[in-house]
Amino acid sequence: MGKYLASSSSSSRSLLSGLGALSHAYVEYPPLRFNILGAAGVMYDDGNKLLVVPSPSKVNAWPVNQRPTCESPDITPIKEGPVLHIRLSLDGKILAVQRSHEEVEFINKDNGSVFHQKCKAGTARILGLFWSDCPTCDLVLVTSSGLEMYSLYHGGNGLKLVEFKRSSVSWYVYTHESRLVLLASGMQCKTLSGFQFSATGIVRIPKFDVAMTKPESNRKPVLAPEDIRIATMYGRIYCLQVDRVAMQLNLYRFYRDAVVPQGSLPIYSRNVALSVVDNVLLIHEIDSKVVLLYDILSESKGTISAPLPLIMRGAPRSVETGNSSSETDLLGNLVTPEGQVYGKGWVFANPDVVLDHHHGLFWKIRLDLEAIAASSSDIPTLLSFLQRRRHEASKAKILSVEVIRSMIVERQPLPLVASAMDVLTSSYARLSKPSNYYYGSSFGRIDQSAPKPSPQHQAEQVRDTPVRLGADADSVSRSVETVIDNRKDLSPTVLGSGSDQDDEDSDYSSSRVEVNTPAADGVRISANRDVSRVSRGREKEKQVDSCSVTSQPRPISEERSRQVGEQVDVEISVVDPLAALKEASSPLISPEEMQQSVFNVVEEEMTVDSTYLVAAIIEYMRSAAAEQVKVNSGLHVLLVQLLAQEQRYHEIWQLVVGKVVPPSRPVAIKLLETGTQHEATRKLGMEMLRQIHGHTEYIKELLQEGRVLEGLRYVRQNRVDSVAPAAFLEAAISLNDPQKLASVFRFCIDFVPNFTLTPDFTMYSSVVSQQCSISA
Amino acid sequence: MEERVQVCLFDMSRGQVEGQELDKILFFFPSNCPIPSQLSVVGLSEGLITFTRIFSPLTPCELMEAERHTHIFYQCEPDLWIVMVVEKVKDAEETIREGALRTVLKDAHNLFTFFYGSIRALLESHPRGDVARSCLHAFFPDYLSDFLTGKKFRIPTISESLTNRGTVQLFIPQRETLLEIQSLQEHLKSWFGGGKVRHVMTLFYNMLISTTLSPADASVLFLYATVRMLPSTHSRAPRSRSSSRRENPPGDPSNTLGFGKLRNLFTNLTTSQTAESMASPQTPRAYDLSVDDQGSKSSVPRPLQPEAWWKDADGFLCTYAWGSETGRVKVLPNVRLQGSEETLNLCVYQCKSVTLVMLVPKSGGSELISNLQQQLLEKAALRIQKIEEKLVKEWPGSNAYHVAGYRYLYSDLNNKVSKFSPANKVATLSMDSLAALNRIRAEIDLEMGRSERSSSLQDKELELCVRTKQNAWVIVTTRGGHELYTVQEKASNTLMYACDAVDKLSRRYFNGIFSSD
Repeated sequence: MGKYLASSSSSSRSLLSGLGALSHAYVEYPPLRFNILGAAGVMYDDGNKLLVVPSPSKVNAWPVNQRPTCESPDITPIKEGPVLHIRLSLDGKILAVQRSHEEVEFINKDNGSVFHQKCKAGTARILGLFWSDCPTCDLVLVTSSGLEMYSLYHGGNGLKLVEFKRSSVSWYVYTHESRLVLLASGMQCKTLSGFQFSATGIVRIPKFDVAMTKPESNRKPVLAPEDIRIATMYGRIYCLQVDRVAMQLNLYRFYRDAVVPQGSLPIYSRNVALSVVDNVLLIHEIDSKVVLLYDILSESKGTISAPLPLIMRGAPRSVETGNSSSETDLLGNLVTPEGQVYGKGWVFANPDVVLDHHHGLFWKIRLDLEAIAASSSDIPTLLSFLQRRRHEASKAKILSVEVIRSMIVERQPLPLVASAMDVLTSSYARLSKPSNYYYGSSFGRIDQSAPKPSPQHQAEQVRDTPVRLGADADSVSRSVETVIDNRKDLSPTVLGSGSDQDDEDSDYSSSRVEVNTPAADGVRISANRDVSRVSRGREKEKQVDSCSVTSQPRPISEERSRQVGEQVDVEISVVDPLAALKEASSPLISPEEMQQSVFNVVEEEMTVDSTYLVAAIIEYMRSAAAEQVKVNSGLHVLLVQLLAQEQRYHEIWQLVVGKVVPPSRPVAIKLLETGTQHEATRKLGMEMLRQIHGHTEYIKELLQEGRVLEGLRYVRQNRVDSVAPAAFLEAAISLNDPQKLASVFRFCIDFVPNFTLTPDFTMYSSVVSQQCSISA
Repeated sequence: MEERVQVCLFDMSRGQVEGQELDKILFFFPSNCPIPSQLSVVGLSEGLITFTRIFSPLTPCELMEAERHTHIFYQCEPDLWIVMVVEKVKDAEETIREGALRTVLKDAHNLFTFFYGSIRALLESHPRGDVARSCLHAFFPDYLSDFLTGKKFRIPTISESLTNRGTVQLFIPQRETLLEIQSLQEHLKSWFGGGKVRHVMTLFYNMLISTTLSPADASVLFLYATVRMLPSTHSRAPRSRSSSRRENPPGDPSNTLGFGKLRNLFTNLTTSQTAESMASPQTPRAYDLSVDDQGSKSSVPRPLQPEAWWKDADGFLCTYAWGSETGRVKVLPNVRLQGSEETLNLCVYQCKSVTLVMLVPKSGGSELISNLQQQLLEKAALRIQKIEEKLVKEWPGSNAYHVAGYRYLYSDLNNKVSKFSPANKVATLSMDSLAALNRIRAEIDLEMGRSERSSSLQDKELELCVRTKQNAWVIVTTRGGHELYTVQEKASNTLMYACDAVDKLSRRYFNGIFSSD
């Protein structure tokens, strides 16, 4: 590789770019290039997010999370010889190079020392290896006769066998993201057993058989490793199995001690590839060159949007896309087949990575949230989709705000607005409450919530089965039953991990895990973390190596949750809504933002009549109240203002009396303002001021009304000292009632300490005597 | 035998020529009263009004106390007067509170205009006065029948001193539930885009939860709903309801509040069939003469016809009170709001204890209503049911508003809302205390009536503490349009303690509105 022909594919490229607007997923140009002379293949180490390219005498590794990707790789010299597999330890110190089916070579990067390890059982072949961060072992060798677990000696110069789990293995699949290894066995390789090497220990997953449709009656298909994929979505771990005969993708979800089929999705091409981008499942229909997007948490179970091609963004000469970065200028002359989407060399790696073997390129697949938002017509579903996005949280947030705003501006039917508001508040409520941090930081691996699916969830499954599964319905409901049983069995073990949330929908709790548990989704968290680290300063640059994240998950996860907490605090004190939106690290929309970026904006634009806007605000308040989200007083003020515009004073009164608009100073002041047109409303404002002890404003109002003596009584009763005696005296003078003036003056002498010593005393005593003499 | 009570409605601008005095009278109760005595009532009243007008042009005459009768005057519209003549009963402690009677007349007029529009407008459109007369004759006997027990006219007595006619009783549910209801109301209003549902009122039993109407309209519709719509529908099921909800057996709040009493009264009446002076539902409409704008002959509705409402299987309330066009087709009940010329149709949906009254423009035609009904059943029925369940859970029982040690009446005059001790608790008060309270209320009425006339914006603020013969305290405080009447029997001996107790009540239950500070 490394030699590119300047072919004439510019026409096809422009065609592709032309389709730019019509795509929901894309790869961003420029890719990471790894054209190394004499390279012997390319590997992706998902544990460390490293792109590893071995060449005869060295191993080149690129950390893929850095943006912009650095051109020069990290080089480790090795001896020449065959290289089957390379894995860097999670602390980045030891490079494991599988040389043959019998032997693995280990190179200590610190001191260059080398040691070798053969597999224990002499006859077995080594199928592969991976590093683990579970407490009992550091390295796992997968051999044809089972799993060998080793721990490193202290100095890092040798391995000690800790445990050997015997089972015959035809092939295996492992993702670091899930910490799950699936071992295939049997004649058809369709019996899968698994182990999860989680931070809490090793969990054994029960054996299960995947369903395979027979092509002909007398032939038995053999399951290939390419057909099995471990996918982590929203913290849940799934096994995806491509059944090319039945043309469907079967989903299995792993629970702590059950594997439950979750139905299947149709595929339309015999040649499919799978990616998970930001918890969204992408099925690449290679033959037809389109991508289907599925969100497993979506209620509809259908695709998120219409099938559209995967395209390349930011490539040179693609003016239409409009986001070509400056680097493309340097490569402007490279109009090559490297731009070929779904080229022959493309290999899809977990979760969202594409390796182009032919051209030596590394791509990352991204979602185009704008395009998805633009093409989606079901607004509540779209909003819940956006609210679940984490990769481009700020964009998802801005889009959510725009969607809800345009919904109001377009005067969509209220029930629709209501369900959209419900989506926003429920996701806000779910993810912003402090109790959830606790839940999140309790480190969940194979689905914390798995052993306790709520009855609602089960019902949902059972309800869905006939539609989605047809003949398999029975088996599903049977496995659902087992889940129910399991739940009973397991409940003691769950107690430690937040069983107070037991009655919550498992969807909720698992998505909570997803947000706050970095190890459940390594890619996302490390990406986020990189951003935050970089913004904090470069001194920790060395640590950007994501191994530090994954090797010490617990402290990081706690730190992470603290970060989220801080961020929520920040959101509450936000002043400039737009700036806040751009910096947002989660798509959640707080009530303040709802008010400032949605309702206030709509109100200022005057595009929507107040009646409708009032209805929308009430809808939001209803939805917030149902989720026990507190709405800020600014929204209440706006509501009062809009109702007053329509002279619906009686409704204002009802809202205040019913505590729908709880008493607060801003509301009280608004009521007083409104009260200039409507006396009863002004009184309502006064009462509210009294209730919330808004002494200064209350007395000001009393004095304006000329109720001086009442004001004095109030001052005395409530021990108010924020109002100067002069204010009362002036008010009494303006009443032109010498008797009242004298009373106020007397009050000041009697109850204001040292009043006789103040200049007020001398000044007003003359006024008092003057007025009294006139009246006399 | 002379009736104890006479009610007369006359127009001073009519019948100016001698010999045509009868033309002044638009309505007279009892209808069998001889014409000469009718004319004498009108003549006397007119004379008094004309005379007092010399001194007080704007509010000529309100009350005349004669030796054996009390005359109460109410000018409902310019030159249109309702006069009520009540015979004084020698023996009774039942002193009449003039204010209570005037509210009866005010309510009558409010209801009348709510259904038919103003009397003056009727007279102007039909100068012969036949339409106005037939409307009044269709309306007033039904209205007055509520106050009749047998032949005896039962005027508001001192035992009702702790109720306030013409006000609305509120039930305030939890914030979340209230928001649900607000949202439901907005949904109802938004259907058919452009707000064809003008207003909504939500009731829980006979208490108001929420409405988009103005206080004045709300109180009229509330009155109508509680005296006519709800009794006839709720009365079909209360027994089964109370047996199904064992936790609060006396849980039918309609029995505990003032209008429940009226309802009982009215059921007694119809079962015994003693109201021979009232047109019973079966008799053909006696005033079937009016001709509406289109010239087609149509009947005059009798909105207050007893037992005219019933609940259909689909949950909507129906009535034949507005007559039926061509056989079986029901005429939709129509009403008019204050300050608006538009005629609105009533559409009433009931889900167990929750009643939704929707006001839809008549111009929309009957398809609009049927469309609305269909939409409501499809989209909102389930929601209403859920709200109903929540409300039933939140309803604290019939004694919710009882405060031990106090018997009270609280009214918010601006919003026409009142709240009071449950009737069964008020019944424990001695007659003496009630009589004292009644007298004090009359005093306050007078006082407030004067301040109402004075143009100053400032609300009357007063406090009145009276110790009765039997050592009960009757304390009245009014402040900023709010009134609180309390009766404390077995209260302590000193004025200070009694006032403190009221202050406590005010702070605890009324946000301290009445506390002086």
